[in-house]
Amino acid sequence: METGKQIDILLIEDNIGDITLTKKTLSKSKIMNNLTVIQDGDEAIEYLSKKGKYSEATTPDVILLDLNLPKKSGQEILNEIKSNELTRHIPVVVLTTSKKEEDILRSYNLHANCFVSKPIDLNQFQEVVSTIEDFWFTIVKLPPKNAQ
Amino acid sequence: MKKNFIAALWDAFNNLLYKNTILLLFYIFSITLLSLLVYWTKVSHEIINTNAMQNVASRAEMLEELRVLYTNDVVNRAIPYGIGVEHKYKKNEDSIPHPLAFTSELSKRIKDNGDSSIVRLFSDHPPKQLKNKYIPKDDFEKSAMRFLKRNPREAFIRFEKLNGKQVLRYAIRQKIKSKSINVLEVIYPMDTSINLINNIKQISFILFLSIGVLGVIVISAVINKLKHSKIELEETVKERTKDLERSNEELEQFAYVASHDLQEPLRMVASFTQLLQEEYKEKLNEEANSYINFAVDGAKRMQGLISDLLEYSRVGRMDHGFKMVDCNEIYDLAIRNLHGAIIESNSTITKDQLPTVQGVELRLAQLFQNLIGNAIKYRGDIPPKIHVKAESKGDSWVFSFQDNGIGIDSKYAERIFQIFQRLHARDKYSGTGIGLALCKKIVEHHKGKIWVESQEGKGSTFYFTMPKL
Repeated sequence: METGKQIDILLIEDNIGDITLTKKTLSKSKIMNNLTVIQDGDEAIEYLSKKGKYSEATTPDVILLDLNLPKKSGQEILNEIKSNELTRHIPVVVLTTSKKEEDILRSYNLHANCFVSKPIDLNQFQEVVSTIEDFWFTIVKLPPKNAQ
Repeated sequence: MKKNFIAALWDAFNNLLYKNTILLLFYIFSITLLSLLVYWTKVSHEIINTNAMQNVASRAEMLEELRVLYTNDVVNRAIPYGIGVEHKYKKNEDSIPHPLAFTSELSKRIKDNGDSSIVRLFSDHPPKQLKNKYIPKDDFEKSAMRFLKRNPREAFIRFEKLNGKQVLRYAIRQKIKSKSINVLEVIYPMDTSINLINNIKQISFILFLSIGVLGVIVISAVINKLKHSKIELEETVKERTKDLERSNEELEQFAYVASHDLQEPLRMVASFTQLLQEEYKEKLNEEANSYINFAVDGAKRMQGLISDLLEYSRVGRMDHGFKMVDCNEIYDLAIRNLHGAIIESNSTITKDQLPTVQGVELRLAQLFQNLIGNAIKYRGDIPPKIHVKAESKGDSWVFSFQDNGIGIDSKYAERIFQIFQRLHARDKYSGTGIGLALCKKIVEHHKGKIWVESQEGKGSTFYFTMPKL
């Protein structure tokens, strides 16, 4: 584990409750993380392509993506991330309430890196977020920050 | 055996009737018409013959009566006066006709007046000078002579061909006592009658044929109308089915969206009440904490109901493509999935050889797992013993899952298969009450039936049927 290194996480999620819960869980994390939250699809794309007010944005190390979003749907965002050379190396964790097989299959077909259903129980939710954190930030070797 | 044969024949007939209705009806009509015609011809022959016989008999009797009258009241009275009785009476003005000549003359005149029958007289002792005229001439007359000698009061009758014409010949014996046998014969030509029969035949044939053709046309029209209605009905059914499919799709969409969208707020309720508890535990008293527990429990149960409802709504509508499924493999799969519960409850589960059926593997596995899982869940104080088997009955398999659990009061035997029906308090046995409703829906989707036989405290046996391959 490379201590001291800060991980940039982009959470694309419109539900304030989930944002709060995710924030809370991540704040208890041992890993230094910088969480950016974006609540609608169009803005997420702007952020990732560093357009407009996001020209100074950092490229995230990991994206947590909800499927149910206003304007652009999660799957459209996923498709854009994975078809753009500048962003397709960024791991995308689909984090959603859906358990529908079609959603799961379609997400993986669009090259989602993993698909996680949000559990209803708070403890389980916290466990899931910690596991994601643990897996992606400590176990997995992420691509270098400025990879093309 | 015979009954079966008749039943098979009847089935074959019905099948043929269904496939080639008009053709078959045409055949039936033709056969009926033909037999009617044959019968009618026979009957009309008989009528004509009887009629001819009556005519000829009355004619013969009349002639004979005339001859008797003439002989008794004319000839016998004339003789004492010396009046000659002669055959050739026309040449002698002082004589009267001999009865034979009288009858001959009479019949000749009748014939000249348009009657087509011929009258003949013959005798075994004809007058010498007219021997050639009055002797029996052909086979009929000779036979008649022999017959009437033996049976003087009867008539000798024969239908035969004479000079190329069909005739009825009728012979009776002279009624005046005499040493010789004198016979009166009437030859009655049948051609008029035969012509009449032929006419009747022709007319009836035309009549029957018209009725038949008309009948077939009417029935064909009715059948065509029926077929048309059938097509219309089929189209309506197709339309309805399409509507139903569409509404099913909508329902599926609705169920998914509803459950998905309902879960979101539920998760919020559950998560934040829990968060509240987690972060303010110390500041809240025990009562407040129990309230939070109720809220969390309610939200979780609600979520369970929603996902069960979603699952229930998917059975059947999402299950197309039946495949051959070996129930032994399904059983093994269910046992593997229930491994934890089996070990924990110390269950003994056995099975006989199970058949292969046509079905949806996932659903059958759900069915087996639910039934075995229930048997484990509703166990008594002793370790569960569960036996699974299938017996052949008619064209179905009857599967049975027998356990030694707590059993069910028979008055609830129907209710347990309804969705979200529970017989036990939630704290005693968990669950939403979807399991058996799901089983029922799965079995019915596989064209089977499900039921339970049980006594409280004595275990239950769940049965379901599956059609054989």
